[in-house]
Amino acid sequence: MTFISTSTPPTASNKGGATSTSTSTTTLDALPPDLLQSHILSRLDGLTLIYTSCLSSQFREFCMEESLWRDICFSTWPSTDNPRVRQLISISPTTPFFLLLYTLSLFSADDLRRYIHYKDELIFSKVQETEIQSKWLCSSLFRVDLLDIKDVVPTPIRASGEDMCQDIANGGLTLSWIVIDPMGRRAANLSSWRAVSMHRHWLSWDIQVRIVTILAVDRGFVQFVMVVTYGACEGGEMIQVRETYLHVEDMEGMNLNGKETRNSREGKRRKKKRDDGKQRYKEYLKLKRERKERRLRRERRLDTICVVFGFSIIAAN
Amino acid sequence: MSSTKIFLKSSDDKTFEIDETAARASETLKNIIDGGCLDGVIPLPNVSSNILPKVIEYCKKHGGDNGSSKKIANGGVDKDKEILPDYDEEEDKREKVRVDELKKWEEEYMDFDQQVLYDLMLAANYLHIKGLLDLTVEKAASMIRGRTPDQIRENFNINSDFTPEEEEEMILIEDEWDDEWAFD
Repeated sequence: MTFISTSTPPTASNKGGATSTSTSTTTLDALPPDLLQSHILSRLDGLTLIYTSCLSSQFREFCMEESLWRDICFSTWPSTDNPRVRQLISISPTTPFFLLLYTLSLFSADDLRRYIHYKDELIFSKVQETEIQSKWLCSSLFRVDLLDIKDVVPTPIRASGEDMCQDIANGGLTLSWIVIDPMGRRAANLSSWRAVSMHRHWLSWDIQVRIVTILAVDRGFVQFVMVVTYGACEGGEMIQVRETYLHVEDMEGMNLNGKETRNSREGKRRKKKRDDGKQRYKEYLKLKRERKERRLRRERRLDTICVVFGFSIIAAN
Repeated sequence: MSSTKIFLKSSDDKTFEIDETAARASETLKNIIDGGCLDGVIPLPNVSSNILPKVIEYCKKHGGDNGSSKKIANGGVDKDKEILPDYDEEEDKREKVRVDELKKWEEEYMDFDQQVLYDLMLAANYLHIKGLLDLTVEKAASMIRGRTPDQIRENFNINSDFTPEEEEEMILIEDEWDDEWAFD
């Protein structure tokens, strides 16, 4: 490093500069972009970063930096640090993919916890790829399992009867199931709100939690059901996740196969207010009940007609 | 060695004095010193005389305790831990007091307006004083965090250069995130 040393005699003063006013009119957006991006913006959380991007066109440009979002995503959902997910980054040339992934969850539910969280603590996170184009899947029942049969995931939940159930039912547990469709270049958040129902298995006493998203399709509605099964581990102290899977049911309660599921992807979720998943599920159940009643009434009518017809034949004889 | 004085010249030609040990808190100054330019005055064309005393104040407080000397001291404590647990407790207490004192000092030190904050940030960046840079950017980030766009604009006096149509679009986009497929 070369240096020019000046010959002016040094005047030792510590606080002498107070009177001189060489005020530069620096504002936040006039800071060097490098300083702003790598030091200030990198310290913000996702929501604040989105807000910051609304300040001005310059800020929008700064906040759209891919690396900012990648870091936020990786730290919140470790499984997004996956080559397959990264490969999908090319999906949108203008908006960083991770921003999409983040906003998607941010606005559709309380968080894009991609997988299972319990009270802000990540229990489990995984990326699962499913091929739904193959013939075999088209005709078989659609079901995506996140856990292998023998795998279990430990949780910090203590197995203590009623309290624990209350805890889970009241939103202690959240699940996010993000579906990415690379062919159709889109993604959706299938879940994130609270469980709609919870029951104990009659034999094993495992707790099954159902989280449901309802999509409108041509022939009414289908529901995407995500089921998480909990059971006490061998010592009986803590609860562990035994299975986590997704399947699709139609109005009759039948499971759909791969082909039907693929078609139902075209479905549009009805415009909704945030976090009314449970309400909608109730509406859906009501609709389902009405449909069943109608079918029963029709069958009863048919029965009556048959009986009357039979009697009239006998009477005619 | 610690008594060696260094002279720094601000952008508006004012000269300030600083101990060499304190100056070593700055990576840039450290390189200059190690490069062998101790006798002259170090000109800092990017730092004004308003800010330089503030920077020097920080360096004085932190100059001695960064880098290798601290590690050695800690290593010594660790050794003592095994032999003399009582002494260690004392040391811990003293350490805690020191940390509390430092926090209090930082709080007082960081009490200034936005203009100084930016200038200090730029100076810390230019002089590579990591601690000071962290302190200032954290303060700036905390002024943004958890606030709505309007609040941030007001806080930092930022004017929106979006057209009304664009503003409207932004609100719409926010609504649309609620919808099913986000990539369409």
